[in-house]
Amino acid sequence: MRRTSDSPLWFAPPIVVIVVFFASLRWLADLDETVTLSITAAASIFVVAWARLVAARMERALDEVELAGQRFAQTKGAAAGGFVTILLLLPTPLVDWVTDKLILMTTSSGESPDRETVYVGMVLGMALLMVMQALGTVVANAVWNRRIGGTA
Amino acid sequence: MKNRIRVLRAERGWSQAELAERVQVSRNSINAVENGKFDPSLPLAFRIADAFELKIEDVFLKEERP
Repeated sequence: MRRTSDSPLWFAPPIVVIVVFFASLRWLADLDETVTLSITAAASIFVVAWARLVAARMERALDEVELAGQRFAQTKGAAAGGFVTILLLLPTPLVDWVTDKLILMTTSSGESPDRETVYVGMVLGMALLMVMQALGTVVANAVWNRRIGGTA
Repeated sequence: MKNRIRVLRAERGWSQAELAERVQVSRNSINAVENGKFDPSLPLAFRIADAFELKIEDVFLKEERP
């Protein structure tokens, strides 16, 4: 039986949306604010909804040991990812550099940031949180597999 | 929880993959249960016992508390 997770095509749509979104950031900044916010919201909702759909399809193919591993990975990974995100957003030279780049991307000449800059910054912060939680989940999953896979 | 899955498999000449197929779980899951890394739910424990055509208490043994 071919599982959902076996098909890379299932992961293509959200990746395409994210790549297109970031590639068109400057174009989005030039649009009317309402249009920008609507497109950003639509892209975010699509990515989250697609992720839930794929996760639900994958869960149907899992047995109870795999489900227990998934619960372990999600709870521990989400907590660890949130913690790492807070650490990464502490005021450091790297965060200053990212902030400068963000202002340059959303304003044409790097002048004072406006509402759109703050909004895109928040979206990027949420994206960072989700990426860190995903990475945390992968690490926690590896910990679970190591714990459960060894011999007694 | 202790179990006799490894011995029972050996008696029948079954691999972990073969038992996994009979009880409809992954081979890794059978490995985890067999090695005592994961305590199965009651329905899964019954399915494993059924695969061996034994009673559940003949497959899974309670551990004595100190």
